Amino acid sequence: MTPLDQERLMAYVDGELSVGEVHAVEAWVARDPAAREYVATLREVDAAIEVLVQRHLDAAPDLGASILAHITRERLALAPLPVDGAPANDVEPPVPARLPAPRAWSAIVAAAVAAAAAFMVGRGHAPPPVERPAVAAVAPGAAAAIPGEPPAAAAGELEEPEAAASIEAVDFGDRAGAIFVLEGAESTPVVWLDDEPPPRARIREL
Amino acid sequence: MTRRSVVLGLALALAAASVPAHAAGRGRRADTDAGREYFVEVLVLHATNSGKGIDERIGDLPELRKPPFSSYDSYELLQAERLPLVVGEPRELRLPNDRVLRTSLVAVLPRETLRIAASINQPKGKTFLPLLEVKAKVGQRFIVAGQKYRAGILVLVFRVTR
Repeated sequence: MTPLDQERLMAYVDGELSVGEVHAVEAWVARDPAAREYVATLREVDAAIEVLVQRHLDAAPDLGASILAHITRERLALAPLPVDGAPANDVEPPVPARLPAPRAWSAIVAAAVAAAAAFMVGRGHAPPPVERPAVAAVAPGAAAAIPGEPPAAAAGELEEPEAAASIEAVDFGDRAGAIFVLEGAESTPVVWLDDEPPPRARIREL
Repeated sequence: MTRRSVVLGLALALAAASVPAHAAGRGRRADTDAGREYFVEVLVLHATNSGKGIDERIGDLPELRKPPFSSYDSYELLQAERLPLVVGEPRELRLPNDRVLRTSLVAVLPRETLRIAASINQPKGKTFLPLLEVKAKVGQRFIVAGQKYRAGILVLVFRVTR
């Protein structure tokens, strides 16, 4: 497998390919055991890193946040500068402050490496689950974000992997309803339907 | 060397050093990835205050011990179904109240995350819950509750599996 092949499979796993490219790669992966194995390895690594990062962010949220903040600052500082003689608009734009999820995940890999030593020491001593207070229910018709959903990231923040399922959209039709999240060791979003129709329809795109 | 290569190198080193157990399952994972089959498990529970407690068949569902679910002292498992999730192939499940739950896979996102759509329709075709769209990883749960049913409510517990 060539480096170009590997690059393409990485992009596939990272969700960076177009629909047409995805179909092509899926056909390739289906008939090529080596490609299939490579994709499986990439996903395996993703899953392993996710576990590592989550454990350490849970165990030491301040440390994790400081590492991520440091990475963000480093990336912003490393944004390419104009090349001598080249017009400014020919220069690659600076790294955006808010990284798309795959890129954020790559940055978190570095954080995971930093956390690996601590993991090796503390292996088998996972922190006890923390019982967080329940988040208030969202009244039907109320505006704003779903409880449990992260607010829109401010400049400089990195997206973190989602720890729970998320409600992307709800159409309650001609009834009322509510959306809330049960917090705990595992956060669970809940859509609560009201069987009694309210006076008028409500549709909420979230 | 590309940035991805660096990231992959770091990731592989980390995985090799810290998570050797994953290597043992590599072959099996590769086989299942090729099939890419996903399912949604649907537990249909009847919540009441009949004093019967929680049906053992439900298993461990911590959510039932938290408000507002803890306001019901009894949960009975009425149905347990495992519906395949295939893009373009919605599946239906008739609920005890004769409404029909319809689930479909909208998209498979990176890192085993699925975008799933669900709706609940009345027997005569009128929509009760026109649309619910959820993004969930394999193993994650979400709940749809509140439909009145026989002195209680129905609680639908969804869990994505593969």
